Amino acid sequence: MADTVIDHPGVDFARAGRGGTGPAVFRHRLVRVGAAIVLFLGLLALAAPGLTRFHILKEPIQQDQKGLDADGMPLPHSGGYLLGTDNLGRDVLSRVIYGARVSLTIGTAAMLLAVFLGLAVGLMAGFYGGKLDLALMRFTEINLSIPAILLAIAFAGLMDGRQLHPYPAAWHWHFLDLQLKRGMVSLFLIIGFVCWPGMVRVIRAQVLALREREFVQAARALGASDARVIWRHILPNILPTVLVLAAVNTANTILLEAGLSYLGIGVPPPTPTWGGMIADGQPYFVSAPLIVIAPGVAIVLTVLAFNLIGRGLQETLDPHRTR
Amino acid sequence: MTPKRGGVLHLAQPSEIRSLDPAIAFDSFSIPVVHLLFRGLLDYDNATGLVLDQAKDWNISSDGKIYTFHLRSGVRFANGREVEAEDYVFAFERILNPQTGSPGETYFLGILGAREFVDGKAPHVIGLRAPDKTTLVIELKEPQFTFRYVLAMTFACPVPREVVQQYGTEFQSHLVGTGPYRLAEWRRGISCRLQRNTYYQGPDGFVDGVEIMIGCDDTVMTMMLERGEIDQVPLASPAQAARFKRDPGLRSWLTLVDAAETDYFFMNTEMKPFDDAQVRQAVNFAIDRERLLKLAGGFATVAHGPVPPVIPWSNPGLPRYDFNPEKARALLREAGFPSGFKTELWYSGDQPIFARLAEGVQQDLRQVGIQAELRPANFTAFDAKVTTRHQVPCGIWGWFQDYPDPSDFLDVLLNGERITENECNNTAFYNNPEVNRYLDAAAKNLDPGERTRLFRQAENLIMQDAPWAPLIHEQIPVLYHPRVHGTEPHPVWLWRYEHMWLDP
Repeated sequence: MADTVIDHPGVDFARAGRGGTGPAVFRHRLVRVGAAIVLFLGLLALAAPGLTRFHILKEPIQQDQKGLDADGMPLPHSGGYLLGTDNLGRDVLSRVIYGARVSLTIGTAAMLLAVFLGLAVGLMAGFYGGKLDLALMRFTEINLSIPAILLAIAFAGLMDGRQLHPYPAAWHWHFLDLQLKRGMVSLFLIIGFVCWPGMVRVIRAQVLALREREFVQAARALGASDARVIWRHILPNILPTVLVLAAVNTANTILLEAGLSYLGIGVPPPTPTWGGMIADGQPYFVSAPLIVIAPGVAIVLTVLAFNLIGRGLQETLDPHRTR
Repeated sequence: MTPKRGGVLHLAQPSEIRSLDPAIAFDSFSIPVVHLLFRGLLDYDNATGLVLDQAKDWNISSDGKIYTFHLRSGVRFANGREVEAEDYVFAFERILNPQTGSPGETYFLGILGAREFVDGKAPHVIGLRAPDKTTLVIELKEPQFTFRYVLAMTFACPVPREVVQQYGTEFQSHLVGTGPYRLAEWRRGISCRLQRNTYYQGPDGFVDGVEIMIGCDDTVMTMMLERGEIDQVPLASPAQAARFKRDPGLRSWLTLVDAAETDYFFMNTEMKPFDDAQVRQAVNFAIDRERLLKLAGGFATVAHGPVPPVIPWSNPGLPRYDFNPEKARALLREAGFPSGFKTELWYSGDQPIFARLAEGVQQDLRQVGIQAELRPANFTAFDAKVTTRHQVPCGIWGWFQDYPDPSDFLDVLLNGERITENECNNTAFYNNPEVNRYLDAAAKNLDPGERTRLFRQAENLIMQDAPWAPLIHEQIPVLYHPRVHGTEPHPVWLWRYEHMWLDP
């Protein structure tokens, strides 16, 4: 059979919006501001090791002999340290920039995982309906009823360095040995796993509506398989919604990562994390406020940027929405 | 200045007082308050010497096994009943009774028949006897020099048996003791109020009452102190303490209490690569303790050995490991690690000081090629992990004295005969038979001079084998309002509310 013959009313990214050149989404002011911030932080994060190598930026984990004053107190903004030092005499500026690596990596990876899980569950529930829908949606609701941060704390509590041997003791399959410990990987898995339920309902609702549309019915009538219908007809049509959800969700995952790090259950030290920096700097807020303000501003900016992108995308891509 | 009587001492605590029951309370902040409500046979003088408190004389038999006390007459509980020797027997058996769940149980196991009582094989401890109302006889299984210090701990204070039997576990809320104060009101999680115990006849207790506010964080407490609403901030954060230290007008508010404690880096001598003494010595040379001091906000002194000098203790012959990264690298090369190695460094993330020390030590080790991955854990998880055999290669911990004797560090933490599979205090799992022999001999010896010689020999050997890299001895920054007097720090009690008095 030839490719689908029925044109479906999906959104054409190139044509959406108000005319002009370039992809329409980037012509939205909010998206442009948000994207600029993310791009700036992302480039800075990528360039950080290079900047360190050429001594433009200090080592983020190096405790400088001169980084603390005679009483062992952090230095405020001064010559060598643009944003001062932290409680161990490390450069705050460098730590904020390196902190972006952690936040953006974990935030994005967790978002991708959450979107993947949310899509999978939402598609299955919406497309197949019936008992599967019932089971999946109740499962989702149970997950939704537990605050994400609590669930994340519980999971993080399991990462106490214990060894898992997922095979019968007699087999000695030591290559399967797994150590549960805190780190970038475990943290993105945890955050991804607690963030997906929020997306399921929206996706399912869209799939439910699409499933009954003529072009889907037609594709089915022509004998297209479920997989083909989902891939060719449903997915492209829910993509705008997914993009919006993804952008907003990245803001959430980054906030969650900062929260867990603040509580001391994020990526272990000395890796700089924004949340961890705020926690460490709190007692010095009066004498050296930059220790707390710098990572705080970084968190606010990043979260704001992703929310702007989400909002902008929504306004651009949603044909029913009037401004 | 002569102390004046009167007024109310206002105190604050960051979180709920864990317990004021002398059988249960065991943290540095509860104990000074427990000592207001309960008093026992012995107390400390202004240093670490023992003095009689509610006993009029005491005698230790020449073999060191039998302690005989004659109680002061006329000592009464806060409910008016006179204290009898039987009350001490009851209190000690209560500590030993597993149902009480007392953390002090182990200190009393040296009493003859204590083990049988704990195991439920005997209805009473045969080593505890009250031949008449004012005579208490304690017989030990074998001579134990440090038992006298156990009798000065708050665990050893008498409790009125009729009150305990009436309230059971609710004794907590109906505390009756022989101290200068009695519990007037305890609103859980909010406040606690103490009043004079009118039956108390001793010299202590200048203020008429004590009020403790519960649940103020460090910043709030400091603000309240400056406004004159409270009289003491018991454990100021280094940030707050530094502010007081720098301000000429506030400097006199700050008191540094030398804590009889040691923060140390332990290396598991049963796990590679720390089973090699050269590696452990290299670690000792690699650590810049002066720098760690700065990370602790300057509120500490450098530790060269396991025993803190406050105890009082000195050991001029102790092998010293002064900061020398070159020597550390050379030792590592000799031990077969020319390019260092990887390991995991465990610590309790709940305590900010340990987090700082861990990151400080990590950096020093990195300079000599040892890559230590930091493994912070919450205290419960950390405690379970490091006290289990073959689990943790190295980590950071601190030990606070129970009584001012070197054995409380050397014997409790480094005697190889005390190694157990779980809940082992010897987290380095260090076992040197020669050290064990010295420590066992010192435990039974009653001659202070001879004991010092034995402990020095043990400590020298320990530092040669280097199962630990001792790091620092902490100082506790305490803030007092200038109207409070009698705030001299004490090596065991840290501070004594019973000696504090206020400007009228």
